[in-house]
This record gives sequence, C-alpha cells and structure tokens, in this order.
Amino acid sequence: MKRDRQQGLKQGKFSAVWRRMKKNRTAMAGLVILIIIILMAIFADLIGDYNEVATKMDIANRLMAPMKKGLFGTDHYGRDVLARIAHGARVSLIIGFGAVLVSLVFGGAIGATAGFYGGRYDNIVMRCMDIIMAIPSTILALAVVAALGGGIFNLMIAIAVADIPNYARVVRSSVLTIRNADYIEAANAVGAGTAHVLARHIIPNVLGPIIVQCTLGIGSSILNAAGLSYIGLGVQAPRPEWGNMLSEAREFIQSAPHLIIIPGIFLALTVLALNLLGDGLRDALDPRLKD
Amino acid sequence: MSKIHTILEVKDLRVAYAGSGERVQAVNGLSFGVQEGECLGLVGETGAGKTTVALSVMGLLPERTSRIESGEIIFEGRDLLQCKKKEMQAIRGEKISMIFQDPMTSLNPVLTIGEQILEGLELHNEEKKSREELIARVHEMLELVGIPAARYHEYPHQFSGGMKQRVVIAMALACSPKLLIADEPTTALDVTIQAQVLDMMSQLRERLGMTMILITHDLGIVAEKCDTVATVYAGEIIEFGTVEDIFSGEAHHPYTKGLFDALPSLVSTERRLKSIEGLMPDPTDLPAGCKFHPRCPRCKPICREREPEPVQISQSHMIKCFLYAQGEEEMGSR
Amino acid sequence: MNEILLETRQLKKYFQTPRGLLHAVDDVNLQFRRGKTLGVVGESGCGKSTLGRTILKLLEPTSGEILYKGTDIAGYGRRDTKRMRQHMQMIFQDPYASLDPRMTVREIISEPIYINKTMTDRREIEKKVGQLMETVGLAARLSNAYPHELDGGRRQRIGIAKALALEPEFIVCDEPVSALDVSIQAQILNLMLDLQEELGLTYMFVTHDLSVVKMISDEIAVMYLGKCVERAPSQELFSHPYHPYTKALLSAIPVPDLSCRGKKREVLKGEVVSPIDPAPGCRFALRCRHCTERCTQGPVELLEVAPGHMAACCRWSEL
Repeated sequence: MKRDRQQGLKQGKFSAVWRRMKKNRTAMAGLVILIIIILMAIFADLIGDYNEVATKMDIANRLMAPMKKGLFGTDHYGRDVLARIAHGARVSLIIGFGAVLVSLVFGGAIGATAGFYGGRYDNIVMRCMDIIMAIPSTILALAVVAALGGGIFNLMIAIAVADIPNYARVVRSSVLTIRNADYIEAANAVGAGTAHVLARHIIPNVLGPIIVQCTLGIGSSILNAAGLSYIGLGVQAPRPEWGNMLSEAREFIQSAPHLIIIPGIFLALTVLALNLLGDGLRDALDPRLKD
Repeated sequence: MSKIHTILEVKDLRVAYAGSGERVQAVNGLSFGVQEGECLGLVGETGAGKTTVALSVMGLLPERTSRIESGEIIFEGRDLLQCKKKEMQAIRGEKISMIFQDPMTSLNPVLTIGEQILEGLELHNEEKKSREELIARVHEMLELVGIPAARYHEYPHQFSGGMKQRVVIAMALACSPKLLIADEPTTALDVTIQAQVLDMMSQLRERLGMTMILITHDLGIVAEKCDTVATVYAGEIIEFGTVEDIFSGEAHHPYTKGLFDALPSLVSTERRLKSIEGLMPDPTDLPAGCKFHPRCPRCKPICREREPEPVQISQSHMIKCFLYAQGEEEMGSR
Repeated sequence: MNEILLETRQLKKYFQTPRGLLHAVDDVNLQFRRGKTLGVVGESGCGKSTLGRTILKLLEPTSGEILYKGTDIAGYGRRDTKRMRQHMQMIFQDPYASLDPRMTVREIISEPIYINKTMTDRREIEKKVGQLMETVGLAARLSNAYPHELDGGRRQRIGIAKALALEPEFIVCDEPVSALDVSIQAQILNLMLDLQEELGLTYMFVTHDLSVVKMISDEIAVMYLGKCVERAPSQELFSHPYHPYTKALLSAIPVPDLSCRGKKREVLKGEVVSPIDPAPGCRFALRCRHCTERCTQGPVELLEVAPGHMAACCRWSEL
C-alpha cells in the first residue's frame, strides 16, 4: 500500500504535466503534427528509397503536378517530391534540433553563470555575446562554414553559434530575477549550496522562457539552414533538404508552383507545431497555471 | 445640527468577476450611504470586497472580467451605473477622486510631479483657465500637502514613500472633489510617516469640507479618523454604525468582535490572542445562509439555512446577524 | 532561565554604495536568552532585517562578534556556517515570495533535511514531514499542494515547518505576520508562542508593528538608522520609554480605542534618511525636538537608565 503511494508520488509530477498538456488542444495539435513529420522522417525509406526515388533523375517525368505522378508530383529532374520531402525532413529536423541543443547548452551555461555570479565575469561574457549579436547571423554562419567546411554537422554548428547570445540573454535575465527571489535566500538559510540552488530552484523556474525560446529557435534554425542551403552553402545537392528544395525550385515558381508551396508548407507546419507545443509545455510545467 | 445630506448612496450592489470558468462573487448586495462631510471607514480583511466597492463607485472596474449584476450607486441624485463613459470621465477626478494603496506605482516615473498634478487639472478645465493659473493651482496644492512648491520639477524617484503619497493626495485633491475614496492610503508607509500623512489628510478634510471613504484594515486608524464605520465580510456589510457604536457599543456582529479580539493590544498583558478560526470563505463558493457561519463561535442552526436580515439596533447602528433578530414574525414584517 | 544562547558584540555590517558607506548595522550588542523572545523594532531602513541576516551569516558581518553558546561564529567559513545553520533558522516575511512556486509543500518542508542530510531514510523523512505539518497545523492532505494554492496563513505555516525541520534552537523571524490579515496574524502568532513553549525555542522577532512585538516579546530592542537606541523588557519599554524616538514611535500607533481619539500626539517631523556616512553623535538628532548641541558631537552610548533598561540618549535624565 505504502509503496504504491510513494510510486504514485514519483510519477505524480510527470503525469500532472501530461494531464495538463492533454487538456490543451492546440498543444496537442502541435504534438500530433510534429509526430507525423518525425514519423515521415524516420520511415522516409518506405515512402521512397533514397537512391531509387528521392535522388534518381527521371527527365521524362519532370515537373509533374501533384497527384499526376506521386502525391506531390515531381521536380525539374523528375524526382518524387514526397520522397524528397520525407528525406529532407531528416536533415532539416536534425539541423533544427541539433542547432538548438548546441546553442542551448552553451548559451544556457553562459547565461546562467553570468546571471548567477554577476559582476565582472557577467560584464565580460555578456559583452562578448553582444559582439556576436552585432554580426549578422548569416554572415557569421558563412564564416563558420567557410572555416569548418560543409556538411550537416558543421552547418548545425554554424547556425548554433549565431544563436548562442539569444539563449544567453534569455537565461541570464530569468536567472537575474530569480536569483533575488526570497526563496533563494530561504534556501541559503537552510544551508543549500550553489549547485543545489541552481539545480533545484533556479533551473526549474527559468524553464518556461527557455522552452519558448527553444521552440522558436528550432523553427528559425531550420529556416537559417534553408537560407544557407539556398545560397549554396548548406546541404549539397543531390541530398534533399527543405531549404535547398526551395532554392532549387525558384526557377520554376511560375511553371511549377507546387515545388515552392509544398516544402514551404512543411516548413511552416513544423515551425507552427513546435510553437504550439512549446507554449503548451511552458504552461503545463508551471504548477501555478493549474488545469 | 445642520441638514444632513446624503452625498453617496450605494444600494444592493452586486459585482462578480468571471475568471477562467470560475465566477468570483466579490460584492453581494452591499448597501450604505455617506453623509456630506463625514468620513466613512470600510473595514475588512483581504478579499472582503472593499476595493471592488471603491472601483465600482469610480467606474473603474475591469471591463472585460467584471460584471455589475445589480444595484444603484446614487451620487448627487444620479445613478453612476447608468452614466455613459464620457459622463463618468467628467465625474471622475473632478467630483470623486481616489487614492490608491501603493504610492510607488501610482505615479508615472517619467513625468515630473508637477506635470502629473497639472494633468488632472487640464482634463477638468471647464472654466478655461490659463496654463499659468493652473500651474499656480498646482503650487498651491503642493504647499497644501506639505511639499515645497519648488519641488514642482522633480521626478517621483526623488521623493520618499511618504512624500510620494502626499503627491498622490495632491493629485486627488487638485480639482477639489466632493468625495475622496482612499484605499489603504498609509498601508505602505512607516508608522511615523503614517501619522504625518493621516494628520495631514484629516486637516485637509476639515479645511475643504470634503467627504471621505477610508478603506483600511487597521481598526486603530478607523478609531482615530472615521465618523461612521462599515464592517465588510465576504462582499457584504455585516455591521454599520457610528464609531461610538462600533468601538464602545454593547452589541456587535461576532465577526467585528473577533476582529477586535484578534488585535494585539498595547494595553493588555495577555500573551495569547483570540483568533478567528478558519479562513475567509472562497468567493467562488460562498456558504449558504450567513456567510460567516462556518467561522462563527455563536453559530445557530438557522444561520446555516437562511441569510440574516439587517437588524437596526439603534437609529444609527445596524447588524446583520440572527443573534439580534427579535423573532421570526418580526423579521418577516420588516 | 537566564542562560544566554546567543550574543552579538559590537556587530557591524556596512555596505559599499555609490553614495558612500552605508552603516546598516552599527555596533549592535544584543543578548538572546534561551527560550525567550527578543523583539527588534524600527522603521524601514533601520537595519533590523540586515541585523537578523547578519546574525544568521546570510550576510557576512563587517566586524564584531556573534557568540553562539560562547563560541564566536562571525569568522566561520562555509562548512562551519552550514553546520551552524542547523541550529539557527529563519522565518521570512513574505509567505508569497519565500516559497519556490514549483515545489510542493512536502518538497519545501523536506528540503532542509535533504540538504543537511540529517536523515537519509526516505520513509523516515516522510514521517518527519508529516509530524512537522501536524505541529504547525497543516492538514496532511495538503502535502502535495503547491504554495499558490494556499492562502497566506497556510503558506506562513509552511515557512515555519521548514524552519523547524532541522530542529533549531534559535529562529530569526523577519516580519513573519506583516503580510497577513489580522485574524490570520493572530493564528500565526499563537502558533509561534505554542511552539516556543513546546520546543523551548529562542526567537529574534523583527517587526515594525509595535503592538505585535509587545505581545510576543520578553525584551525589546528599538533600532534607528543602524543603531540600537533603546533596550528594555517589554512591559517596561511600553510603560516607561526613555528615548525620544521610542516615545514618538509609541505615540504614532493608531489605537483602536475611542478614548485616545483626538488626543494630541507627537508627530515626528521629517523622514528616515539612510545611514550613509553618518555624522557622529545621535542619529536621531535631526528629527528630535529635544536635540541640543551635545547630541550632535560625541558618540552616544547605550546607558543603563533603570535596572535592565538601556537607552542611548544623552538627555535621558532630563526628559
């Protein structure tokens, strides 16, 4: 009996968050869309083989409209758009999540320490962040790609670097407000150390703004990657990626608009789904906004 | 005694806030009248609905979330609840003014205090006075509340808390309103500063012949400054009377008595306080019958079933409690 | 029961501010007797909260001694301070801000135990939390509630339970009831008195509310701009105040009694300034109507004006 109750308590927090999430319809819609896109990415090979369908030219069937050949038609080399979208989702999602993870880890650490310790360290670190922010992100990413070379991983790093200051600022400002909260002093009064205060009190309380920043960040990272691919610095042809699909399609914007519209819709859907999910998650994690 | 003239009368006011799916019943059929020139104290704890009453009189209830369900607020013969927005704007500040609790947030940090006092005067400038005349009036107001007129050009952050509250008072009084509503005007201030501000307010009230509604939770302030007192509990006035009725009378509502007993006294040597058990009722789910019955030490069966009617103990003293009802018949005939 | 549990000697806490050195606590000597309550009163900015935090070493003292059972803990390092904290706890002013909104009642109360590892067995800790909740009058069903779901009085009970979790001997109570309504305030004050009797706690009760301090304290210290200006047993201070500031403070309280209505009271002029680079002499001199030249010259020491009654006024015998 007693054991049951204790276990129930352990699960309590997560199940409470999930329960609150489930009540939020828009967040659930976001979650469903995201799952569909992720499943598409995972099972891309079932939708169309990478070598046989997604990258194989078939000039005879080029620029076919949707439904005429395949669900989404074909592009200017006669490649199946649906298969390319699915394979492109892999790259785009990896870049999106990966870049956010990298910038969150570095930016979060920088912001949290700057906010927590303050003083000269804060000043120096945040001025460095300002310098990075002052450089247009595309140019910064260009420089990083130029230095590191191409490839998905380097592209991810390039995008993440430009984003680090955003995370650092968000985390720092949240930490600053929470650092002065009475309950931090209360924790000190019972003998809590820095690590405990950070882990138990500060991080859970800055989670809200961070989640929002992250979900927005994933979308913008995908868009940035698309931008870099568009100018030819990102993922190289023939590997499909939503960004380079858009860039390749620009010549056919009038003759075959679906080549622009379909990747565009997927990009927009992903970003939308992430934002909905992020907002829902933020609210569900906050016990003050109950049910 | 001169002719008594009721300047403000609130009749059966009911206000509810609609939150996310919940309905908060903030004011439940509250009625009172204020005579010209007197000071009425509204006493009660947090969440009793005191501020909601004040905001209803001012016409400043949040439009989206609140609803006045019934009642009349008669000021100088007009029902304020029927007034149009424009008419209310003309009354607000000119005829009725309000002082808010926190002087730190009721001043705009980017305007000088002089400009802020001037603003109200300019808005209600019916006589088309020149700017110089209005500025002269601001200087006069500043001196009146004990601030050197030379500080006209200073910003709020250059003032201490007590001084800021003086500025707020000067703003409220600039148009010589007939009625001043002060919502916990000294709660944010230190005792010695509170004493200064309260003294100044009562002097001004005498000089300007102003009527005042003083909202407070401090019975000490009420004893010193008010002429009549209304005890508010869960959006109702449960006891109303002159200060003498409330502070030295024999009969009291059990809640009023509880409030007095809960105060640590400077005179007695008692080391235990008599606290009122329990908590304020949840305004989304008010108890049936008398709203105080779950906390009342003298609760009778009838208190759980029926809402008590106001009982007139004397000409001036009203108590809403079955303890003082003479019997069923009499209550029915009232 | 006259054993002194804690004592401060010449305790100073200065803050460096852009406008000069702020003497928040200046040469304060206080004795806390075991099982008794010392009330510290004063207006905002008088250094009373800083004093409490300095004694608990939440703020590093600038100089002076804090003797806990005879040992000076002022110079203790991190580790020793942490050990001392088990004996010295604090109850905070604002029950709305001093509890982490993302922790449940159970987590908040058990936090000190986990941090200090005074118990390790989970089940034992659960039991302890249950006992603590019962002690402070919180229903067991609230253990999974979050602070925002509770009213101010219950939140302050959580704060008290948390302070008691380490079974301290000395508790600094920083305005524990000033954010609460009168009827709830009475409940909490009664609870604190009960706990003192049951557990033999020693309180330092910091407040601006003179009527509360009179009721709960055995002895009262009045502070003004970082200095202790008067110290006396509770009854004695209220019946025979010596310092002009104490007198003014007492006369400024609105009394809920009609017999005091209209009585001319002594309204202090001017405002509390902050003690930045204070001039020598009595810090109250600027607002004091009895001020003479003597007051602004030399330092004014606390003198015993009656048995057990100390006041820092050079004109005490005349006034």
